[in-house]
Amino acid sequence: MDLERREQSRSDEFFKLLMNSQKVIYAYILSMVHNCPDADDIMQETMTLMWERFDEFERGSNFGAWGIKIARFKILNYFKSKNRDEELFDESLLTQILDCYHRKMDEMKVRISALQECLKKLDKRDKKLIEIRYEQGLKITELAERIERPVQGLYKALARIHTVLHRCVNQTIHQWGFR
Amino acid sequence: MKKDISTEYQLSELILLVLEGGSTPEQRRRLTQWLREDPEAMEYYVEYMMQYSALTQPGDIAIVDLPEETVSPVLETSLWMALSAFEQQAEAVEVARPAPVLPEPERKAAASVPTAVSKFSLYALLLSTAALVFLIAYAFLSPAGRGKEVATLLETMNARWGSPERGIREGMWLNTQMEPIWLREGIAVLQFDNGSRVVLEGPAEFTLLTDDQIQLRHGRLFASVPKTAIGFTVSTPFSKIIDLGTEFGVKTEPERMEVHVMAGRTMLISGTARTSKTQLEVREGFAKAVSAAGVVQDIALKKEAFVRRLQPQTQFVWRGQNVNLADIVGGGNGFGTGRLNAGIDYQGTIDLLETFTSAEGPKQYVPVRSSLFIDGVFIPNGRSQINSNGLTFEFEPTNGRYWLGVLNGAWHQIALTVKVPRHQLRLNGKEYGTPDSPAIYLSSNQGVTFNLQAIREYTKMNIRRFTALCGLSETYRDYWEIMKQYPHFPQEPTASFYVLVDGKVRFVQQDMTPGEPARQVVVDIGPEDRFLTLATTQGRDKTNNGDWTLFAEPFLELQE
Repeated sequence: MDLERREQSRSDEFFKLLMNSQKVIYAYILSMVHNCPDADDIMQETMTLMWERFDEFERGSNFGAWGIKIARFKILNYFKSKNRDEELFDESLLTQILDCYHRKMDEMKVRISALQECLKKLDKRDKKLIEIRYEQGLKITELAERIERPVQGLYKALARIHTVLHRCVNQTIHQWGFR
Repeated sequence: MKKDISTEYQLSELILLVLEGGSTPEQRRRLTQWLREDPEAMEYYVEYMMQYSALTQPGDIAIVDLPEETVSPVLETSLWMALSAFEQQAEAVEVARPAPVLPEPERKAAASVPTAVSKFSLYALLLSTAALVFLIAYAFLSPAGRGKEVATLLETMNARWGSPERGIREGMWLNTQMEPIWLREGIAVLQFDNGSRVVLEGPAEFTLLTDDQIQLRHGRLFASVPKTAIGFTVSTPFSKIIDLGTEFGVKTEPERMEVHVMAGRTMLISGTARTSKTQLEVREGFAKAVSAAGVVQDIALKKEAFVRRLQPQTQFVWRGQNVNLADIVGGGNGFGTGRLNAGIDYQGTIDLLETFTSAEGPKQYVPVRSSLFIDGVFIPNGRSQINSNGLTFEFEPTNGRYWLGVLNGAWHQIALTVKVPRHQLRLNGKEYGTPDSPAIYLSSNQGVTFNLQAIREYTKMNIRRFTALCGLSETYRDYWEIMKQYPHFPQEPTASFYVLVDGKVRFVQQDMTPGEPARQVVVDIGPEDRFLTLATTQGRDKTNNGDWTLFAEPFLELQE
């Protein structure tokens, strides 16, 4: 019974930590592999390995950084299994990205909160486009067909919306005193 | 990374193309290189991925509209989406949102929004009177009814719009068939989906006609059209300009229009539906005017008549001018804000320079802190420091003396017992040191180093090359009969000219004399080049007396 309770407590602790760091680990994986289905698979494998090795995690240290370390191992395996030509980034760039994540990791939560605020400020139609693309998960080509706009135009529109959101997020977190 | 919205937008588009699988190998290489070389781009990339991941992953972000926005707008758009899809698909049309994990209040709001429109419900909707009324109104009022979105209002500066209630603002899409847009004042940049870029300068009134056609009723615009968008057309009340891969400016007034072609070529069609039309090609470097009656005439090209780029943060507007280094020496930004006849002394300050005396210069490099664009000044004498990073260059030994300072201007005067009247210096028969013919009077032995990177950051543009004329003023010979009364002034003084980029000699002309024609300096500047140094030394006569040495029209050519 004690064993069961201990296991339950261990699993609660793991999931609590994971919920706080999941987004940044996923962002890191996506930064490397550049497509959501592969990122989803690697995230799954990473979480499994994190759970298996949870005892090795030093309590009090940064769980997200630990997760990213494990994700990096999984990403390198992924690259090995793939055609090397498909790799976008080389080792030195992967290290640069990793360093940048370590610097920015703690901003992730506040960035999400700011993003939520900034989405409210979007133009109604921009918001709709973001909703269809990201919440309904339509690919850009499908979306272009659906709303009868050229694919190129949609890339430009989404690039514009992301740019506006990024600026807004940075301004917002600055106003909140985080930068 | 240039922190302007245009650069951020370019990087955003590149990242998105890579993430969405729409990128070419060249685009992927470009992204890799950008991230590798630019730490700010790397930071942007990581922040962007955090944002993108937050949007793609279910959880914290709720994009579904908040309660106050769920009634008409969302329903309207959902219906539009459903109808649009219904026309293309016989089977049920799904416009469902995957149920996001929302906090309680939002979840309730989201639940009130239909998550799917089935074929059945769509029929029911279409059959209802209310829906029919809505559909009729929708044809006139809805976004689709208003036309096709073809361009983004990318950037503005001090813009005031004619109809504030239309809520025109940076970042919004503009569509065809909108009412004419009146830019009362300021500047606006439109990015068309086909890649064409149009800069409008208020007052201007325009309408987007199609995805590659804009009508300019009055005002000025400058169009940059990439090869992929050849055929881009600017219509005016009595002409059309069809692009054939180019950059051109158009100015429209009630009775006349002008087209000025800066690069490439265009096809000009003059006349209206009621008048006979003529068609002619206008090539780079030429300009034409068309009257309301459709009469075409040649006019002089005005290279600097149109705003081509802007930097709202610094209020910098670029009309195609070169950077005038003499203006910078006078404390300006290189575009006319400096003071003529001001210059740099060896305290490192910029002020009016009025006293012609020869003095011994400092042995060390003197930073100039009052200008963003000038790194510092120095006296060339053997191995001399030439920039604030400690870089040195081996000049020939000199007497270490100089006259006046580094001047934005070119005049000389001797007001002692034997007088030479104040006069403008002259090269190849032309007087310099005037607003129209700028020059840096750099009487030897002196050197000045410009910070190229600061100029790039200010203009957000690349520097293509440095050009100037250099020589000793012909006026020395005019005044030789007076000058010869002074001991130690040679009849034929000599001086040498140096142009260095990051300490490397890119131009040198040694031992020039007032009797020689001035030399043309053309030095290409690469994107990595950081410092440009101009220097003069006394030459083989071993004295700086009589070295009325100047760099005339010292310009940096910019490129987009």
